[in-house]
Formats: sequence, structure tokens, C-alpha cells
Amino acid sequence: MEQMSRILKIEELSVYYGQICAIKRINMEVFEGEIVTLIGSNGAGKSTLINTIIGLQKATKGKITFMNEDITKVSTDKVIKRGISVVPEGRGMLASMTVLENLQLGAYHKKNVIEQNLEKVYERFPILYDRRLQKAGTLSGGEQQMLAISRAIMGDPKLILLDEPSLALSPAYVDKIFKILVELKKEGMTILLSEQNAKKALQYSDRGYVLDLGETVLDGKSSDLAGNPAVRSAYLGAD
Amino acid sequence: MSTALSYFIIFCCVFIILTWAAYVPFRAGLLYNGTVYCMAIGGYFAALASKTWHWPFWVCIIGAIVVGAILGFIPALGFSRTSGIVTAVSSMALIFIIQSVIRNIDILGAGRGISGIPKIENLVLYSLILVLIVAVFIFRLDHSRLGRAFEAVQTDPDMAATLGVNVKIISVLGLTISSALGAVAGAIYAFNMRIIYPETFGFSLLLSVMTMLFVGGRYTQWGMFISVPLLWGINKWIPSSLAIYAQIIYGVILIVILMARPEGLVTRKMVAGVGRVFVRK
Amino acid sequence: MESFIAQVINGLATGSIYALIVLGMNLLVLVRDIVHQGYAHIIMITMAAGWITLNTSGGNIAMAIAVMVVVGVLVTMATEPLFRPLCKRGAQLETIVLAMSVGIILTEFMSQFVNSGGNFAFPASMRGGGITLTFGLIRLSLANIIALISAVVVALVLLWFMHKTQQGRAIRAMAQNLRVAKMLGIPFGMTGMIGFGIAGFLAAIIAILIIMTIGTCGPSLGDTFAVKSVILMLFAGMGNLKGGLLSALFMGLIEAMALAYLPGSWTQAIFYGVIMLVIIWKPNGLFGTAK
Repeated sequence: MEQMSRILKIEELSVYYGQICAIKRINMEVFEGEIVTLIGSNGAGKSTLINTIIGLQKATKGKITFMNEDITKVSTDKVIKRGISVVPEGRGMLASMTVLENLQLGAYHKKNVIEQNLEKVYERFPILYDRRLQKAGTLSGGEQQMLAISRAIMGDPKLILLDEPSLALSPAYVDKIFKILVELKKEGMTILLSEQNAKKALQYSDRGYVLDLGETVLDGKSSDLAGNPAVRSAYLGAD
Repeated sequence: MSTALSYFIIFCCVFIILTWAAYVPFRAGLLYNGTVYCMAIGGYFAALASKTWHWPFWVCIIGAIVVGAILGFIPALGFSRTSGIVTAVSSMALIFIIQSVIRNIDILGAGRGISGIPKIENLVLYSLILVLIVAVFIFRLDHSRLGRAFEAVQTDPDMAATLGVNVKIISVLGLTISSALGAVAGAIYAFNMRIIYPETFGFSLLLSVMTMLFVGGRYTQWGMFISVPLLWGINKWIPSSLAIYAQIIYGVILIVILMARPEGLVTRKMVAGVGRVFVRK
Repeated sequence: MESFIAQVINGLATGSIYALIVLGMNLLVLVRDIVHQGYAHIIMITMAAGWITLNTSGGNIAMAIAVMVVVGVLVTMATEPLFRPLCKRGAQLETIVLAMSVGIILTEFMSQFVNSGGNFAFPASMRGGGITLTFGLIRLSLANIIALISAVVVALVLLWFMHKTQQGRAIRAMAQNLRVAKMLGIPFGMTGMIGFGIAGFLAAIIAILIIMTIGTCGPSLGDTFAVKSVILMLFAGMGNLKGGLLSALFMGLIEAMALAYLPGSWTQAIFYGVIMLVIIWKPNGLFGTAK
């Protein structure tokens, strides 16, 4: 096997909302086949970072490279077309469209793979097959998260970004979601996720970056971070 | 004073008050297209009162205010249930309703209109006085507790509700005040023209009002003083060969303003700046 | 009884025209969340373009139709950039005013430059030759029947497009949640242009149907259709395609009945009064909005 290649590289990225600094000189790399976690509390800049990667938020300074191509100033739809897909915060259901339509739109730029990927998704999540003609808004929270993840893999992306996938889910479902992510990783997908639930995220991911007030304060292997006293006290609590 | 000039001044007064009638609901976040409906009510009331019942000018104005407020209050109650775009569009229907009603009532002259409205001496002075009164009224309103409630509703109705502002009452109040102001404008208009038709109170009038409001700047009450004379006098500023295209010019100006300077010519920042200059002196 | 049935068919023919206008406006609601009154005026301009072509080409119907399609699509698409800055700021109320001024500009254009502002009639050759069909005692104009059938077909095709193609789904996704739609990679500009393009094509079809059923056009046609259609759209629920179709057909029927059996002069006041009451009673429309 060849050496792991770099999928995403972020250099000296800064984002300002007017005068307010949301992200300050962040450097980051994601390699093929990894799960990378962004840890941080509310307002640490995790969602801003994800939105900036896909071009929903303009970068003030710095450079974002995806598959060796500069995507800093590329518009959202073109970024998605190049092979990044997103699971938005709060799952981003198109609530009054059916489950099937949600899945079909997941492969907006790759219409020719819809049929075969639908089969794969239904195989993985039979419940979605049963509910394919229901409105997405009628699903339970956990089912919606499954749908959101399935929708994100419909277009055979090279990198999946998940914004707070465990938000507002029961603990049983949180484990389930992370196990799905590990499965996807084994199939060769690369995943970058943001989490407030640091304990679970570090347990299942390979590497992590700790953000605070828009800056990277720590980074390293997930197991190292989980053992780091600073991280333990700030994000893991007394367990 | 020449007739043309006094006509011009009175029309400016009419449109300044009318534009304020559209400004007040906008303060509460509503785009109210019923201003023209209120203007028709005020105009017809004044015409009827002065011609048939021989009421004096000021009594006619007060009567127009009362009738306008009452007839504006009724739809306002209904519109308190709707919001935003729904209010804006369904209030357009009022224009058709009032036109159709006027055409069917003989005492209002039906399709022929009312002519021979008595001439008022000193109408220029009276109009200016009315503009001054309304200006002070709106200034006081904007800077009162109520004005701040309006502002809160405009910024975010849901947030305003959590702050204890009764959004429905604010909306009814805004539309009722607007109706009364529209009626005043209509009354002056009737006295100035001395003849009114139902066709006058149609869409091109609505577009003129909206153009004056949006070009002048709908976040302050002062923009009208610039936009109304500028736009109303457009027939005079441009060569007469172009004057027949006045409506097209209005439309284009409005589109350009909406695209390029959405706040209008006079913005809040400017007003605050001017205010500071005066305070310093 | 026979005249009643004829009234029903005529009412449905008018209703089907309203239905298509509402459908076109709803399409624009879906792609840009705007209430585009000026759409009715674009139909009017398209009719005028057809008329001018007929006059200059010596009655070449095929050429007139081709010109109408081009004009309908181009003019509709040309209005899209006007709305874009307002849409980006989410200033929905201002878009109504903008659409209103588009309408007035087109109306004024008509009254200044087309037939010196007078009404003009289309030749009988474009109106089904004025043929009437007789079923027993019922007499119907062929043009009305063709208009009704084509309106139904067009509406069905558009509904199929919106629900069964990726592009249609993308338009509906944009209407429902623009942010999520963007995150799925749906291009804002391109999809909007496609929506406006389809609406423009629809405008040309509507223009042809109005020529067939009404047969005349003038500067006031835009205003007449604009307000009625916009209010019908709210009555049914903004962005609700099927609801809009149903209410428009129904309204055409009611209007035909009112014209035939009520004293004429009050119809307008009653029509708008009733619709307003319903809108106030159900602010989201009878059938609910798209969101």
C-alpha cells in the first residue's frame, strides 16, 4: 500500500465576522482514511470552520487545500461537487420531502450512482427502506441522523464533514452513530467531525484538534488527547 | 404665489403625509399597501362633507381623520392575524374593493367622480401646517415608548413578543395611525384637485408612494422631504419629451435604489450625524 | 341547464389560465422566495411581442409562437438579477415592491410603445378559427376546450418535473431550506435561473392560451391578472403547487358563475372581499405553504 495521502490541508486560516474573530490562524491536516475530531465548547469556532471549508463562510485569510487543489474561494456547490459532503448541525432534514427524495438529493452531482448507492444504503439501514416514502420530518431523531449520514454518502464523497452528530441524541444512538462512522472509515472514507461530546469522539477517532475561542490549543492522537490532563479537566469532566 | 407653485407645494404636502402613512406601519415591520385605500376614503369624505354638508376645512380634516381611522381599524383587526408578505399582498385587495365600492355608490358620484369641491383659500398654508403637525406627531411617536415597541417588532417580532410587546396591538395601532394619516392626505388632495375619480386611487399611485418611501429612506421620517419634491417634481426637472415616461422613470429609480442602496437616500446614520452637529452647536 | 354547462366549461377555461399563472408565480416562490407580480406583465409583453410579429411577418403563426417563447424566457430571466441582492439579504417585503415596479414599467412600456396604448385583437386564425362545437344543445368554443386541455397537460408535466426529476427536487429543496440545499451542493444561481427559465417558458404558453381564449390584449391586462393571481396564490398557500392549481380552477368557475348570474358591478368587491376574509382566517392559505 502507498503512503496515506493528504485529503485536506488548512493553513493559517482566519475568519472574521466584521470585527469579531471567529477563527484565528488555524492549521490542520486530514489524511485519507482517518477520523479526525474537532473538540471545543460552544462558540469555539467548530461550525464556523466547517462552514468555511465548504465555502458557506468566507475566509478572511489563509488557505484551504482539498486533494491538492485550492478551494479557499470556491463556491459551496463546486466544493461539494469535488467530493466533500456535509451532515449539517441539527441534521438538516428537508422535512416535508420524502426519505427517498432526501437520499436522491444527496447525490445531486452524481446522478448515475443513485441506484446502486440507494441499494447500499437500504442494505445498511433497512429502516430507511421501510420509510422511504414517508416525509423525513416524521422520523425520530436517531433515524433522521441515520438519514443525514446516508444522504452524505450517497454521492461517494472523499471526505465527510459532520457538525455535532451526537447533538440531541440518546446515549444508545450516540454509540450507534459512532460505530457507523467507524464502519465507513473501514470502507475507506475520510471523516472530519466536530463534537462537544469529547469523550465519545476521542474514543472512536484517530486524531483530534482542540479548539478554544477560535484557536487550536492542542492537537494529537486521540488516545493522547484523552489522557491529557488539560483536556480531561476542560472537556471530559471528572469521570 | 403662482398657481403652479402652490399646486406643487400642496402636492408635496399630500405626498409627504401619504408617505408617512406608509412609513408608520413599516416601523412595525409591515408593508401596508392599504395607504391608497385610506387616501380614497379621506378624499371622498372631505369631498362629500365640504360639498354636500358644507363643513369648514378643519372640520373636514378632523372628520376625515376619524372616518379614516375607523375604516382603517376594521381591516387592521384582520391583518393583526397575518404577517409580512401576506399583509402586504392582501392589503392590495383593499384598493380594488374601495374602487369597486365607490363605483357602485351613487352619492359618491359612482364612476363619474365628485366635482365642484369648494375652493379653500390659504390651502398652501393649511397644508404646510398639517405637515408640521404630522411631523411633530411622528417624531414624538418615534421617540416614545411606543416607538421603541414598534422598533422591536420591526427588528424581530418573536423577540419583541418575548420582551412583553403585544405584537398584535402594535400592528393594529400602526395600521390605524397609517389609515388616519392617509385620510388626511386624501382630504388635502381632494381640496387641491377639487375633483376626484375612483381611478386616481389605483396602482400607479401606490407605486408613487412606495417609490417615495423607499427612495427617501424608510428607516427615518426625514427622507420624504427629499424624495417627495425630487420625485414629484420629476416632470419639471426633466425635458418634456421624457415627461410622458415618468412612471417608467419611477420604476427604474425604485429598482436601482432597492438594488444599490436598500436603505434609501437618507439613512439613520446620516440623521444621527446631523443631530450630533446640532447638539454640538 | 345547457347554458350552465357551457358556463362551467368557460369558467374552467379561464380558471385554467389563472391556474397556470399561479403555477408560474409559485415556481418563483420556490426558487427565490419572492412574490413576483410582474410575472403577469411579462405574459402581457409576450403577447404584445406575438402580435407585433404577426403584423410584421404577414400572419406567420409559427414565427409568432417562436418569438413569444424567446421573449417570455428572456424577459423572465432578465428579472432574476434584479431580485438577487434583496434575496441574499432575505428582504422579502422589498421584493414585492420591486416586482410591483417591474409590472408598472412593463405596463407603461405597453401604453407608450405598443399600438399607442390601445387594445389590440389577435386574428381568428390564432383563436381556433372561431369554431364552435355543438353537443346537443351545448355550444362550446373549440379554443376554450383546447386551452383547458393544454393547461391540464402543462400543469401535469410541470408537477411531474418538480417531483420526479433531480432538478425539480433541487428547486423544492431550495424552497424548503436554502442552507441545507446549499450544503447538498445545489447551486443557488444556476437553479434559480433554471426556475426562472421554466417560468418564462410557461409565460409564453400562458400568453398563447390567453390569445386563444380572450383574444385581445392591452396595457391593463397585466394588472388585471397580476393582483388576482398573487392573491389567489396566497389564498391557496404560497409555494403550494397543487393547492394553487385547485383554487385557481375553482375561482375561474366562481367568477364565470358570478358574471353570469350576479349583477355585474359588485362582483369585484365581493370577489376580493371573500378572498381577503379567507386569507385573514387562514394566513398560511387554505392548503398550507411550501415550508
